[in-house]
Amino acid sequence: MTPEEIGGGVVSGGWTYVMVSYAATWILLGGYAVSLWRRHLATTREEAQGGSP
Amino acid sequence: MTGVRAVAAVVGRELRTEWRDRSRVGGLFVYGFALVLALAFAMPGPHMLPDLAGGALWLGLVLASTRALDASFATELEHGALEAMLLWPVPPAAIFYGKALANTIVLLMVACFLAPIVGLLYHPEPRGSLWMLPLVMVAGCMALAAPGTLVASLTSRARGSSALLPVLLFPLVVPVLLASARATTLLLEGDPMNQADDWLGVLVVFNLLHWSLDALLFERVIDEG
Amino acid sequence: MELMRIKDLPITADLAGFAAVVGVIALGAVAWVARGGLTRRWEHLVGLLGLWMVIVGQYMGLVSSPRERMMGEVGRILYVHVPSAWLTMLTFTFTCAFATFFLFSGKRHWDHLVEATAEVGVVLSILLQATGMLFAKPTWGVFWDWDPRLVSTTVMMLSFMGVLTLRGLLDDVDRRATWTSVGSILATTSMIVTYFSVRWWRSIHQMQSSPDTVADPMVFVLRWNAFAFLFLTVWFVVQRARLSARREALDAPPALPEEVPA
Repeated sequence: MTPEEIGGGVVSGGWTYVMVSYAATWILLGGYAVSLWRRHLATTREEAQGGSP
Repeated sequence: MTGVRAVAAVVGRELRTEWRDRSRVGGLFVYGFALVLALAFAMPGPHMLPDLAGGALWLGLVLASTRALDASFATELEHGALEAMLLWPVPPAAIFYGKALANTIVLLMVACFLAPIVGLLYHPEPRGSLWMLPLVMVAGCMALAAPGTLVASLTSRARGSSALLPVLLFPLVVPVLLASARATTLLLEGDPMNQADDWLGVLVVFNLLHWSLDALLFERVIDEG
Repeated sequence: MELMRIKDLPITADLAGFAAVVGVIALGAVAWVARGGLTRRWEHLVGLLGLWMVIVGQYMGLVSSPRERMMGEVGRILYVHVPSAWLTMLTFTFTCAFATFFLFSGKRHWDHLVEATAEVGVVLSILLQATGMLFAKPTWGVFWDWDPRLVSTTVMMLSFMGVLTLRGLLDDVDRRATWTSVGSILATTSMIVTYFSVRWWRSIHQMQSSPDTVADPMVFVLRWNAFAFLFLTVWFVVQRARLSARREALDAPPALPEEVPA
């Protein structure tokens, strides 16, 4: 028996899932990059003030 | 032999501390009892309870272990006893093994107390031979105690440690909960394929890993104080 | 164009090759970091390369790569799912390695790398979980299944979240560093045990494939995306490690009292 006969057919459609996963990739990786950037900026500000209180 | 004697001394000290503070261990028993009772009410009906007996016992033990472990280091810190202990002429590994063994004994006591209660409340119908059950209980309690002792030593210094201990410990002991609950259930319900041996094997491997690695890591933790 | 099956891909063999490449790069990097190499900002080049590769890789994954024969369009999720899985594993492996280095050497930069890899690993594992669930729903019919790989990666993610929480709650710098390392080593080793015990408990996972049929276009897209993710991860980790170093320098009390001008 070939996989085709067992499975009974190709998974059809599913573009929504594909789009959501690619969007999730961008949101997560982009979001993390932004968070890193903001934390670096905040650190620069604190360094300019001469250390934490 | 000095190593063994040092460990024995630490175990004795820990158990004496527990004995002086009996109400704490007593509280553990009550906590486990209440958990097992509450778990039964969360289930769809009494007809399911026999299948859940093994799981209920070990879930109760895992949850009770966090209370036991957390309290054991909290009292150390309150009285500065850990520092005093480091002045003993014993290696840090002996302190770890002593503490972990003492915690194993406390957990075994809770297990021996909870097992008959689960037997009473959950009506398991033992179809298999139960002679391996004590082995599973000892292996399971040891497997909870070793990583538990190490994690408790880590979290005890953090702010809000009582909430943090389960956060770190539960992911670590997933294999223990899985293996001991499966083994117990198989022993209770009959084990035609002898799978309980395999699960006991998982516990043994887990114990070997953690009773060796965790002692090394504990030395580092103690060094940092 | 002939459609092909992702199951035929030599994923295991590919991961081994990928890990070997990364290992060689890492050995060089480790030797270099040990000499204080974190001082210069070299990582933006790698980051830009990663960004470009990820954009091209996503285009290839979404548009130009062939439809998977059995899974149809859903197979395209694997081009982000599989790289995130590999990079999660690699990142956490490096966390464990850096933690060991720290415990042996006590050098501060290893601690910064431990924190960086742990945090980046958690981000990657969240991506791994999300894409995994989105892949499982149309192919297996459920978002979550008690698959050993699923359970062990989730457990590992929770462990490292716990470790980072612990780190956040400790104030003493030396203690924080040691205990993060100890927690990371514990989390990594326990992940291995969890994997095998869950595999025993419930073994329905599709076996990783046999490396006999090679579907060139898919392998290429997969490899491309894996390296894109690798470069991005390197950028994240180095940026995060720099942040740790800066924060530590900032929070540390000044070494000598400042001179008061007369």
